[in-house]
Amino acid sequence: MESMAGKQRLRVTFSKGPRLKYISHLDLALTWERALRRAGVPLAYSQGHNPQAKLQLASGLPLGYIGCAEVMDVILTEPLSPVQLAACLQPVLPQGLSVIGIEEVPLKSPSLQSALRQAVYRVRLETWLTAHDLERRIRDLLAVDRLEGQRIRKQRAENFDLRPLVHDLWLEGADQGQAVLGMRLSAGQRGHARPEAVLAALDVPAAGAHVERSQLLFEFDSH
Amino acid sequence: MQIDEQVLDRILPGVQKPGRYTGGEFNSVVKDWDTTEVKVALAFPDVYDLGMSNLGLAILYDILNKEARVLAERVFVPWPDMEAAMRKAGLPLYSLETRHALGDFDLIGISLPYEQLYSNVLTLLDLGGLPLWSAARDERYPLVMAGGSAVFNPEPMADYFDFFVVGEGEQVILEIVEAFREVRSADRETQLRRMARIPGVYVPRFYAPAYFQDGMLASFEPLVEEAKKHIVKRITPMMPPPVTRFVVPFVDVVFNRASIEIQRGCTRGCRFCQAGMIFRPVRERSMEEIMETVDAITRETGYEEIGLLSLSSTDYTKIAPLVKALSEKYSNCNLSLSLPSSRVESVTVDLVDMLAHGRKTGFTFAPEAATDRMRDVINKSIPTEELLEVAEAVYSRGWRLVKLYFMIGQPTETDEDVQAIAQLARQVLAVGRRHHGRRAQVRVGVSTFVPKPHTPFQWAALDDLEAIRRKQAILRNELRGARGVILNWNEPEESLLEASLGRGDRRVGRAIFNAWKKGCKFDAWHEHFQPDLWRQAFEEAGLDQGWYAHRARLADEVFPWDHIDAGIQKRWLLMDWYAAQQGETKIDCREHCFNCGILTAFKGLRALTPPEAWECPPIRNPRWRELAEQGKVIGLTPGMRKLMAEARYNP
Repeated sequence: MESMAGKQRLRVTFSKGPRLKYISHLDLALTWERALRRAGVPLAYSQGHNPQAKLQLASGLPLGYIGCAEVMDVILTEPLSPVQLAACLQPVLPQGLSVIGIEEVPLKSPSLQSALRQAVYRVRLETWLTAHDLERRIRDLLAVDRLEGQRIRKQRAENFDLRPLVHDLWLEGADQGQAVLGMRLSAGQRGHARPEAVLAALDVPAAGAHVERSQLLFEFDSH
Repeated sequence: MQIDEQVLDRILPGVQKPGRYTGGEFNSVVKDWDTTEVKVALAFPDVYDLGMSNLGLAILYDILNKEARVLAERVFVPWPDMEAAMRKAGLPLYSLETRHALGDFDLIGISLPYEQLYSNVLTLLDLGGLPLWSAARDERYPLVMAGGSAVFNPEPMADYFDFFVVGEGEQVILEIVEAFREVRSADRETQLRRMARIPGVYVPRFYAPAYFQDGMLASFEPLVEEAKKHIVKRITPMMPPPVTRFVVPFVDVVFNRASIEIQRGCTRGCRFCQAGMIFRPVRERSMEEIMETVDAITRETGYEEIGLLSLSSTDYTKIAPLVKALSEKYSNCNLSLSLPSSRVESVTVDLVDMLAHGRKTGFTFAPEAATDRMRDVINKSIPTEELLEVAEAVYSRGWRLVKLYFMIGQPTETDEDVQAIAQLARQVLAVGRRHHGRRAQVRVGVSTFVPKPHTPFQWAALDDLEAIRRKQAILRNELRGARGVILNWNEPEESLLEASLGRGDRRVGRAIFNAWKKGCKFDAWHEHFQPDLWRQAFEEAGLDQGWYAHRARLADEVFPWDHIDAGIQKRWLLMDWYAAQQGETKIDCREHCFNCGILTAFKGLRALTPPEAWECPPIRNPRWRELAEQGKVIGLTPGMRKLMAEARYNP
C-alpha cells in the first residue's frame, strides 16, 4: 500500500461564514472530507478496517462562531500545487466555506493542534454600557494578577485563573447599544480560554453576542 | 413571509443540532422565489435526520428542480425543543432553501411512508399556519398532497389532505404541476376536480363512505363525474433515471450515504410484505447505468458510502458481475458499498464479503420464521439447514456478529413456532462459537406481525397484546443464559397503533386529531410514543382501537382501501390468504406467473416495454401493442416513450 502513504502536506487557510456557524467541528471535518473527495484530489487515508482521511483542523470552532481564518492541514498521496488544489476546490465548496490561502509545509512538521498558541477574536455584543465604562472595565481586568474564571470539565464546574490566558483586550467601538471588543486569548493544548469567559469577567452579558475568530496564532508564527 | 435570520439567530443557539434548521447544504437548489412560477414544498413528517435519508423525496426534489419554471424546497418537522422555541417566537414552519413559510408555497407534497408519522403531519400543517382540515382550506391556501407507501390506505388521513398520489411519483408529479398551472386562479372545487382527472390522483372529498350499523364499511361511492371508481396506482414502465446530485447534509443523519435503486419490486411473494405487493412489477436498472451512477454520485456528492437499494438485492439478475465490477473499480477509493436486504443464500456471503473490504461489523438476515410449517404459511421458505450453512460461511469469513430478524404473531402461529426462534438463535450461536469462541454473537430482532392493506394477510388479525407479551416472554425465557445472544423486541402498543391506523377507515382521522391535540408526536420515536393518549384518542372519537387491529376480516368485507388499486386483484390476494392457511407455497414468480393481476392492470405499458425490463412475462396480444403505440395508455410521457423506444430498438 505504498501508493496510499502521504507524500505532501498542504496547509489550507479558510473562512467559515455565517451560513455554517451552526455546523459543529466534527461535521465540519466531514464536510471538508467530502469536498476534497468531490474535488477528486488524492487525499491520504489511514490504514486499517476503518480508514480515516488525513485531514487536521487546527482548532474546533464553537457552535455559533464565525471563523475568518481557520487553518487545516491536508495530506495527499500525490503532489499537487497549492494553486491546483485551490482550483479543484473552488467549484465544490458549499456556500459559507471559502479558501483564503494554501501553502505547502514539510510532511513532518509538527501538528497544527500542538503548535497552536493563541487566537484573536472580535466580539460584537448588545450592551448599553458606554465606551467609557467598557474601557474602564477592560483596564481593571488587565490590571489584576489573578482572575477567577469558571469552566465545565468532565461535567463538573471548576475554577481556574483566567488572567494568564488573556493576552490582550481592547474596545474597538461602542455605539447605539452595541459594542465591539477585540481579544487575544490563549488557545490550544497548553491553555485555552473562550471569549464568553472574558465577557463574564467583564460582567457584560454574553447572550446574543456575535463572535468571530479572526486569527489563529501558532508557535511557528513567532519565529 | 420569509423568516428573518436574526430572529433565528436568537433561537438556534438554544436548541439541539441547530444545523438541521439552516439549509445551505451542497447540491441544495436555491432558485429565485419571485420569478419562479410554481413553488412546491416537499415535506417529510419527521425530523431532518430522518427525512434526509428518504430516497423518494430526493427523487422528487431532483425532478422538480430540473424544471425551469418550478422550484422545490425541503421542509421537515422540528424536534420538540425547536418546535417550542418557534411557537414561542411566533415563527411559522419554513423551508430550508429560502426560509419561506409553508403557507407561501403553491403545492405541498408530504411523504407518507408509514403510519407512525400521521400525528406529525398535523404538527407540520399547524406549525406551517395552515388549517388542518382540507375542508377548511380554500384556494388562498396551498394544495396539500401526499404520496408514499401509506397512501395505499389513504382513508385515516383523508380529511387532512386535498389529494393523494397513488404509486410512483416520477411522472405524475409533473402532470400535477401542469394541472396546477391551468387552475391556479380557480376556486378550490375547480382545482380539485382538475386534479381528480389525473390518473393516480385520489381526491377524498369526492367520495362518500357509508357504514353498516355494526360499524363495517357498506359502500364507498364517487360523488362527482371526475372521481373514478378505482384509482389505479401509477408506475414508471422502466426504472427512472437515477438521482446523482444528492443534497449532502452537514449534520449527521440516520443514513448518511447516497443510494441507488438497482431494482424496484420483488418477485418472492412473502405474504406479510406490503412492499412486495405494491411495488410490482419488478424492474431492474442496467448494470452499466448502475456503474455510471456510482461514478457520478462520488463525483457530485463526495459521499464515502453508497447503498445499493432493492427489496431483495441478491435477486438482481446480474448481482454477481455487478458486485465484482464495483469492488474491483472502487477497492482503492475508500468508498464503501452496502447491499441491504440480502437473502439467506451462500452466494450472498461471497458478494457481501467482496464489498466489505475488511469492514465486518455484522451480517444481517431476515428468516422471519423458524419452523418449516410457519415458513410455508408466510411463503418465505428457507430451510434451517441452509440457514446454518450460511451462518457457517459468515462466521468462517471473519464476521463475529450475525443479526437475525424474526416476526411473531403471524397467522396460525403456535408456541412451538415461537420457541423454535430461540432454538434457531442458539444453533446459529453454536456455529459462531466454533469459529470465534465466546466472542461470537447473535443479535435477534423480533418484531410483531402487523397486517397490511393490499397483502394476502390483510384479512388477518393482529395478535392481542397479552398474546404478544406472552410470546415475547417465551423468547426471553428460552434465551435466558444464552450468553452471546442479544434479544430485541418492540412494544406491543407500538404494533397496536400501527395496526389500528394502517387498516383504519375515514373515521380514524378524528382519533388522529384527538391524539395530536393531547400532545402525541414523533410516535415512531420510542421516547415520545404515548400509547395511553392514543387509546383515549380513539375512545373519545367513539372508536375501538382493538376493532381495527385485532379483528380478523370477513372474506367479502368492503375494505376502506378497496378503491385504491395497486394492480393486484383482491380475489387473488384472497386465494393466496386461503393458500397460506393450507400451508401452500408459491415459488418465485419469475419462474412461474401466478397471474396476480399486475399484467392485466398494466397490459398496455407492458406491451410497449422491452421484455427484459420487467420480470413478468411479455404481453403477446398485438391489440395492446397497438393501443399503447397510439398513446392510449395511461401514464406514458413523451420522454418515457422515447426512452422505451430506444431501449427496444437499440438493445
